[in-house]
Amino acid sequence: MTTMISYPKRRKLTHKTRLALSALSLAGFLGGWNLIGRLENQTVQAEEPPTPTPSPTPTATPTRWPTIIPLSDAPPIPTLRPTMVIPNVPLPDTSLSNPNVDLPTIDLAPLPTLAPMATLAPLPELPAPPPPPPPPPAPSSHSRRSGGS
Amino acid sequence: MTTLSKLSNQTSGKTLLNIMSIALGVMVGGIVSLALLWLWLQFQAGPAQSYLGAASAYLWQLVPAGWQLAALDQAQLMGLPLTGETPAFWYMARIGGIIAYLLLWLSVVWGLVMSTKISKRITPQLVYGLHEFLALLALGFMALHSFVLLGDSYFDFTIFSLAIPFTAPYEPLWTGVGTITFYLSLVLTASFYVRKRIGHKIWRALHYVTFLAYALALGHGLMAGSDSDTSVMTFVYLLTGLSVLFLTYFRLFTLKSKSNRKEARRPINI
Repeated sequence: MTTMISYPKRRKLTHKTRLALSALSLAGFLGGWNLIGRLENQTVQAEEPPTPTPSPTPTATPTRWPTIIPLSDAPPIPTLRPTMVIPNVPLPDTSLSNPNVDLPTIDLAPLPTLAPMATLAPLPELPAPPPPPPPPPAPSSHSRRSGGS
Repeated sequence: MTTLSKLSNQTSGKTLLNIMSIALGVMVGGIVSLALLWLWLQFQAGPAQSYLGAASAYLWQLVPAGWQLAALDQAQLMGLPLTGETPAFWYMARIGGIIAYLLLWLSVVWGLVMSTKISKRITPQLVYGLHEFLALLALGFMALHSFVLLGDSYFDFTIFSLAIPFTAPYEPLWTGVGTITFYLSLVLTASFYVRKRIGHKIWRALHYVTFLAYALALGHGLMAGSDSDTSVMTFVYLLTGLSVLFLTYFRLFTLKSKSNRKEARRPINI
């Protein structure tokens, strides 16, 4: 009695597998490149000294606004001396329309007058223009020509 | 006789065609590479006046305004634009190194899974293909990890200081270890394609160098890596290192038990 041994089907590495492997390696290369870049950036950021936080500046205490004294505390304003008011006696009219009011006269000094303006001297008379030059003589038929040989 | 001459003619014709196509490929590849290099150097000299700058500005206009803001935010995080004054090259070098290490680890782990036959469901061809492709991807990311360092202006890395071990301006010893790791990985990855030519025994013997390459990569990452002091990366290095160590011991144990079983099956001559 013989037993039949079934061997697995012989397979070769196909072109598709080769292409997939190459693509996978390339993807790993690009991904790893990106990862290294990210890690480097993170390291650089971690090594950088932290940006100095603005220290609290000494704040100047605002000067207090001068407050107005409350009216209740204000000293009384000096008032004019009250006039004697007699009942049923009219007060003397001190208005300007009243001719009886003796207004003080004001003497104004006369204003200084300006000196008269200086007049310009008359323009000198222009000399008479010279007579026009006499007309040139008429060209003759025997006039010489310059140039030529 | 005529058949033989016809065959030899056909073979020489095919060889000539192959040589011509290879030469054409090299020529076109060289021209394209030089053009790209010129464009890149022009961009580095003055991004605003360069063709690459103009092209990217035109493409940028096509992006919706909402996306532009998000993209700008991400670009700022990633240290872009790609000029010497920005940290973009440095970030790229770091993540490029990490991805390369992880891919190398995965490749080693898959190799050990394949040799220990932990999982019988996965076919050897699939595991082998995955092991090979992961190693190739790791090599690509290793190249990226080292070449982007040329763009960074913080350290004066040159082609020579990167190519010649222990001459780098930053951590010369451990950067040199990284350079050696790159060369070892280059040889190991190339060995996948010349396996038939060099023979299985030599290939297998050469393949043990993988452990050395992995150990050097781990040392380079731990000692020269900018992120090795972070808790995440310490955990990653610890986990990956221990997993390789465990699988290696498991592999040695399984090999020993297999050889013991073979010894036990051998008939004893009395």
